Parts: sequence; structure tokens; C-alpha cells
Amino acid sequence: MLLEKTQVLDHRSPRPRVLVAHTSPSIRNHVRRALGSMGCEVEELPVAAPYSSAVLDPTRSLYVLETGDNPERTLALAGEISGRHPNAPLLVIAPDYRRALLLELLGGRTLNHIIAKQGAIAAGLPLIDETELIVTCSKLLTNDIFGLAKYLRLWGVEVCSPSLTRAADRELVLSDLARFLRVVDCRSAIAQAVVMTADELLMNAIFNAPRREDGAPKYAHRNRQEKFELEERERVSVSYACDGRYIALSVSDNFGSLSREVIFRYLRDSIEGRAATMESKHGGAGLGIHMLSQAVTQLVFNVQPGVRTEVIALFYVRNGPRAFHEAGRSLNIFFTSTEGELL
Amino acid sequence: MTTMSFREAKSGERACLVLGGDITEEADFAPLLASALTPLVLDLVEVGRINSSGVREWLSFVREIAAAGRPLVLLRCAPAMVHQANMITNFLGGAEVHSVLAPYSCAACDYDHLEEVPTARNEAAPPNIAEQRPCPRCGEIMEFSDLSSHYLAFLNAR
Repeated sequence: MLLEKTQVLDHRSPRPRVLVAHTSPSIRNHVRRALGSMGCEVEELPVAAPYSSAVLDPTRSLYVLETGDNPERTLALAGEISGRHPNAPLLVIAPDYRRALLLELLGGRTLNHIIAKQGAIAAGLPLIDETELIVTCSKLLTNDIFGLAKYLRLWGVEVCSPSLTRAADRELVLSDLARFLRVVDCRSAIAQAVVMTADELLMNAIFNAPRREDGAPKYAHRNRQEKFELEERERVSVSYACDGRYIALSVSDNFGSLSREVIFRYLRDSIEGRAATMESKHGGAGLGIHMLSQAVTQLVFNVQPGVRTEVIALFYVRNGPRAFHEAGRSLNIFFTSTEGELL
Repeated sequence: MTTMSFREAKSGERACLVLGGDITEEADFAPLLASALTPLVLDLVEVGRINSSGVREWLSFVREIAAAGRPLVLLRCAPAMVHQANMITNFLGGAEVHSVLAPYSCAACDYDHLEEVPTARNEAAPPNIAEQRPCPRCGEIMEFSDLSSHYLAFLNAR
């Protein structure tokens, strides 16, 4: 069932054309193999090589750009591609998304997807996690963005999926999650990051996501201690699982009220390495996204405005807490229109 | 999940309050503010996790302590507190941090260990975190679980 979830490209359709701009043969081979397995037609462009404007023709389905020792050149290419094709799906492979150089592209909406090169599959080595690459590219090529199962590699993995009907259920879900983390032998240093992330995502989904009919926040001003019933649309869905490589966690609401501006504002502090400051507002402290951005190996925002927000957090657990901290961080921000087309 | 609590104890000859549990929106710092201890010495060894609402409560607490002109001394800051100190501006206010707990993990026997690292400014040597130590349980080498280049960064920012 899980495998079917990742085999989403229809092979009877024309093969998606993907341009891969790379700085090293090893990454090129890695990316080519992964994209080839998806049925993509891969064209290559060494980043350092001169290229004609024809290389950047608009018929490509996806552009995958790797940053090497000279990231400015790769990022200039990203800027040129987005200048010619503002809606072209663009994915950058970089050591870590929390790099100041990427900030401009993230802030300018050119870039929404950064896969960590020194990624969790082998922390410290210049490799990427091909599962992450395939899942991200598939989502970009098919507009099918929601669901935790896409990120879990093994058939047979059990996904726990509680639903919250009251604000007070948050505590129960966190207790169950902590128990699950002990069952899968998650080391305490990582378990603490997982529970903290779940708590922040749940608070966002319960208190910040719900909107009144006029679009105004419904519960954002409320004290987080308040225990109230959630209306049917306000119910929050949680999923978590472990496939041996990652603890995977997702939290969904039915409002899709999280904006790209809010995501970027909180991530910017993290990317610039600035300490966060607490917002002087009632209700939440305004620290949640900043806090979890420091803790998560791969952070995925899936938003269909007015319909649904799903935040997925993956924590690399295979090689213990040290490797978890050393692994590069990946970021994906998927927004679709209300009709489900990727924006 | 355990709500924050505290108990009176001794650290050497000095009276202190040991803080334990999770610092969340339910954390009540009023009894700590009312404590007669001067300086107010908090042992943070038993603190579990802290969420963003807990950060708000903690920041209010350290601000009130500072406003009252009471010195605050922190002992054995748990990793959750160290992470926040590295992330949140003025998280520790004017507190004097005498030691932190450094997390270690032993791959041989699956033991998670917290080692106290002195950080007081009057220490002869600057605080240093060993990348490896012998495991107190099995004697094999255990590894520091975090990034030593980042873990004590908050001390330099103060």
C-alpha cells in the first residue's frame, strides 16, 4: 500500500522532463537514478558549464539544482530559471536549508523546496536521501501533496492516527506519542524534540488554525490551558510512525489558514541564526515554528488555503542522537490552489 | 506529561529549589517568586521539556526576578533549558549559570547519561565538553549527543 503511494506518476503519460544542474558526478548519478526510477526524462547541466538560453526552455516539468562549493552560481541559475518561468517547480539540493544564501530565494517565493545534501541517510557524507528526493519530486509533478505515508519507506509500518475532538486531548496524544517513542527505542535526546514538535504543531492546529466565517482567528487569543470542545471542522488529525530511519509525524487541520508569509517570517530567524524573541500577544508565544525548525530533520508544509494545512516533521533516528543533530535539514513548502493545483 | 513542580533541597551547603517536570502553559512560578531564598538558586536537573507557552511563563518569571533585584543562580541546566537558551533572546535573563547538563549516549548499552559541566565565570578553564566519555554503566565509550560547537553558544552571547 505504501509503495503504491509513491508510484504516482502515470507511465502512459509523456515522461516528465527534468533538468538537473549539478556540481559533482556522485550527486548527478544519485539524482539521475532516483528520477529515472520515477520514469522521468533527465537532462543534465554541469553548473559550471556555459549554457544557452535553450537549456532553460519552459517545457520542463521540474528543475533540480545542486549547490556545490560555489552556491552563488547555482542560485543565480535558480534566479534565471524563475525569471523566465515564474511557475517552474524548482528544487535545490544544498547542505542545509538554514543558509543565508537561500533566504533571498525563499523570501522571494522563487524557492520552496530544499533537500539536504549532507542529509539524514548518511549524516556527514555528501549524499542525499533518494526517498526524500523521489517523494518531493513526485509531489511536485502530480500535485498530490498530502499524506504522511508517502515518506515512510517500509511496507508493514503501523501508522498511529489519533484525532483530537477537545483541546484537552493534546495532553493525551502527547502521552501516547511519548509511550510510542519508548516502544521504538527512540533515544531521549530525539524523543524530546519529537514531543516538543508535536506539542507546538498541535497548539497551532487547535488554537491558531480555526477561523470564523469572516476569516478572523477564532481561538488564537485563548489561553493554552483552556479546555474546550472542538467543533467538527476544528478536529485535528495526527499521524505518527517509525520506519527505522525516521520518526515521522504529521498534524492536520481543516482550515488551511497558515500563510507562506507566516512560515517564512518564523523560519527567517532560524535561517539567519538569530535567537527568537517572544511576541507580546495574548494566546500563543509566537515561537512554535521557530522552535520546531531547529529540531526537525525534514520539515514539510502542505497547505491548501481554506481547506487544509498539514505539517509533516521527520526526525532521523537510525544512527542515534549525534547523527540526528549533525544531519542537514530539509524544507518543503507546498501550496496548492483551492482546486488543488500547485502554486 | 508531568506538570512542573519543585522541592527544597541542598546543593552542597547551599539551599536550593529543584525544579522538575515539563514547563508548559500550566507551570506556576508564583511559589518560586514568593520563596525567601536569596539568591534564588534553582537546580534544573529534573526539567523535562519546555514548550512555547512554557517559554512565555519562564520569561515572565526571570523578568520578575530581575525587576525585584533578586540574584538568580541556575545549577545543572537540563538540555531542554540549554536548547532554549541558545534559541530565545534573553531566555536566562540575568541569571548566573553555574553548570549545565551535557547529554551523552552509549551505543553499547543504550544508556542515556547527563554529565554536569561547570560553566561559572570564575572557573579556571573555559567550559569544555568532551566529545567522548566512558559510560558509567558499561565502561564503553559513549558519545556526546549534541553538537559541542553549538551547545554552550549561549554562554558567549551573554
